Amino acid sequence: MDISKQSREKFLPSILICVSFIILLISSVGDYHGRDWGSWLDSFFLPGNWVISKVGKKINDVNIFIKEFKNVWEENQKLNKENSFLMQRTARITELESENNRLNKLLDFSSKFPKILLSAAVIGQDPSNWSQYIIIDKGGKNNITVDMVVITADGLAGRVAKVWPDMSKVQLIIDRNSGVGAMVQRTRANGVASGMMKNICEFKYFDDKEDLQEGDILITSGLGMVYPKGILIGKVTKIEQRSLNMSRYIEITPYVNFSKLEEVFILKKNMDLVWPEMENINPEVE
Amino acid sequence: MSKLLMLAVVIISVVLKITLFRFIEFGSYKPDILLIIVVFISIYEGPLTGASLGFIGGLTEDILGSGYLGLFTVSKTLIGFALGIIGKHIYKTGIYPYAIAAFAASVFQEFFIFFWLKMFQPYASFFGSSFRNIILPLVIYNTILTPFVVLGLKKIFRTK
Repeated sequence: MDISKQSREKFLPSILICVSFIILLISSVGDYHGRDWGSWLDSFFLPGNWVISKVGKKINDVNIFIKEFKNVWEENQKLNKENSFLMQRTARITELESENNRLNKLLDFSSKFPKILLSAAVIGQDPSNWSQYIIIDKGGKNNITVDMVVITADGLAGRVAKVWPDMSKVQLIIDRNSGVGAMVQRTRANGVASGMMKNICEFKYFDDKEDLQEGDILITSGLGMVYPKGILIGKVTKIEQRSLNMSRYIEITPYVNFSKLEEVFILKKNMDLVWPEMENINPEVE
Repeated sequence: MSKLLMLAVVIISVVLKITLFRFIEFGSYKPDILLIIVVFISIYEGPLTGASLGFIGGLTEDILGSGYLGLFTVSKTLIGFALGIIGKHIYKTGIYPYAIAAFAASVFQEFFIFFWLKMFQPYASFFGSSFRNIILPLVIYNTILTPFVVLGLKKIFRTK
């Protein structure tokens, strides 16, 4: 290897390392979410976003097809085994019933909040394991703006953190940097539901004299200007006394199953909600 | 190896990581296929190509991600550069050298991210929970996946 090639092999990577460190330092010194200084990068990356949006939608379609195909295949296997026309009919009816129930639930939910909900499909997720964001297929073209609240039929999912023309990025409430003004429904104790990753949140900054019990339901308190009051967050599933002089650790399991998010709703108007069937809250969350 | 093909593989892996891998998560962890690709290419092609692809892949990941811009760029550029230099002195056939390199690269990347976040978000990063819930599972996951990804990459790039 000649000297010029050898030096080039070390010189150019060193420049790249320096450039990347400078980018990281500028980004880190600024606010964690405030990447507006780099909006020129977003414009530069618009074709990339378009690709992500298209690929995400296609993969979503393929996933739905695979799921349906898998269902049909399993159904067929069952039929071959049992060789019964009646069994086929029963399985199909069950499948349709389950799909119908799911769609009815969504329809029923959206009809309870007419004109304020916009439905969106989840088409991607954050590539990093250190943050919890999803990408949805609605963006600036659908009048989506930053800080719009994202919910599902089960409860609060998060807030819109970034908007592109064809898609948006949503910060989930389980993200480490997410904080939601929360209130215990039974005692009206106020605090903050902070993301803990791994599909759980922690209830923080509450008055330690408050009586909190496992099974208590948390709703948004409306404090903090982003989330309106009354949206279901989750249920208290663990209470631990950390030490004599410290407050209790309150673990919240959100009602939303974040690992299975496929459809979400965006609140077009920031108004307080009275959640439907408040008394019949998802009993599966334990 | 064709430079264009390498670039295409890197970009496709980032796009797939965002759009497809949410369907094949293992215990809510997303595999870092891009890291394994950078490890493989760096060992084969040397520090210049390794660092360049690490830079491009990491920057793409950062732009589409939600953390600090540059976090993956720095870690993957450094990994590409270091493994490119080390790669000249190791035996390239077989799977185990890549698995060991991917293990080391995963450890480096996740610890680098943790310590960087610790500097700028001390309230949000606790070592115990971060190590137990993110770093350790990811390192194991990436290491286990490496042989399969490397076999696939060897077929794509037609190397031994």
